[in-house]
Amino acid sequence: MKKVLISVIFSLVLALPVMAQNSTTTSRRTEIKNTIEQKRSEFQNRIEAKRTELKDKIQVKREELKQRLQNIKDENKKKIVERIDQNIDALNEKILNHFSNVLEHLENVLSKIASRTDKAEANGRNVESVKTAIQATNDAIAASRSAIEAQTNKTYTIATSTEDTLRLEVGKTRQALHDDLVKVRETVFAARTAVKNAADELHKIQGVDKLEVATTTPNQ
Amino acid sequence: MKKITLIIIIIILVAAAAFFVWQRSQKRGPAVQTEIKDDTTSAIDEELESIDVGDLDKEFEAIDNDLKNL
Repeated sequence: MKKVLISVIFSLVLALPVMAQNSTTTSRRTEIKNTIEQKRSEFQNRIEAKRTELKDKIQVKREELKQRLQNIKDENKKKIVERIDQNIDALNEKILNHFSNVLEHLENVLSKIASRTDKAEANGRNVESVKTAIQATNDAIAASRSAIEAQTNKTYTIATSTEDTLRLEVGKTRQALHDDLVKVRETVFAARTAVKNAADELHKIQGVDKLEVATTTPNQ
Repeated sequence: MKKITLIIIIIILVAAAAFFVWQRSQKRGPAVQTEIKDDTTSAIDEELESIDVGDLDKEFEAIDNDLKNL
């Protein structure tokens, strides 16, 4: 009977930490997923608020442009300038939407890296370098989102004086948008590089793809 | 009498273990929803490679074409 008791105690001592580790791993994944969802939602809300504010600014800017274009006699050129003005704002929104989607995609990849890292940790592997890289990626994604937010607030005014300098003036406005978007794109590139670094760190863990933790059934 | 004591101790230990596992699962929430289907390094690399940041200059083509007509 004593043997039975010792066996039961021994089994529990071995099994409980494993069960605790597995459940901690799963709850950490839930926590990471919830944090990502919350950050995305907050970011989208801020972007929507800024776009609403911007609509009025753009409307005022268009009216002012129309007034200034009265000095230009060529009707075709007037229409082209107005079209470019509209396209500049539309392009800014389109590119920023695309960058936001890229960041979400990068975040999805990062979730997979975090998931695999948790499994490695649950199996006793040293994952400190991956965790550091994951934190750096989170920071890079946050910095890129800040850059997108700041760019969302911007609108571009075409200075029009004479018909002769029209192309030059519109070209300057086009270049200003291009330069600003290049800067935002650099932050997206930085986020992508950070994810790549985290993936590279994960690769360094020997046999990382074979490490698993026991999955549990959902609670109702 | 001794046997009964041992059985009681075993029952208490098993009950405590069961309670511990149940309590953890209550805090955890639905595990299946958070399970990431393919988190192997090859899947991660593949997904990372598929992310296209885009061609900024190409997006400016319409504006640049209009500019030429000014």
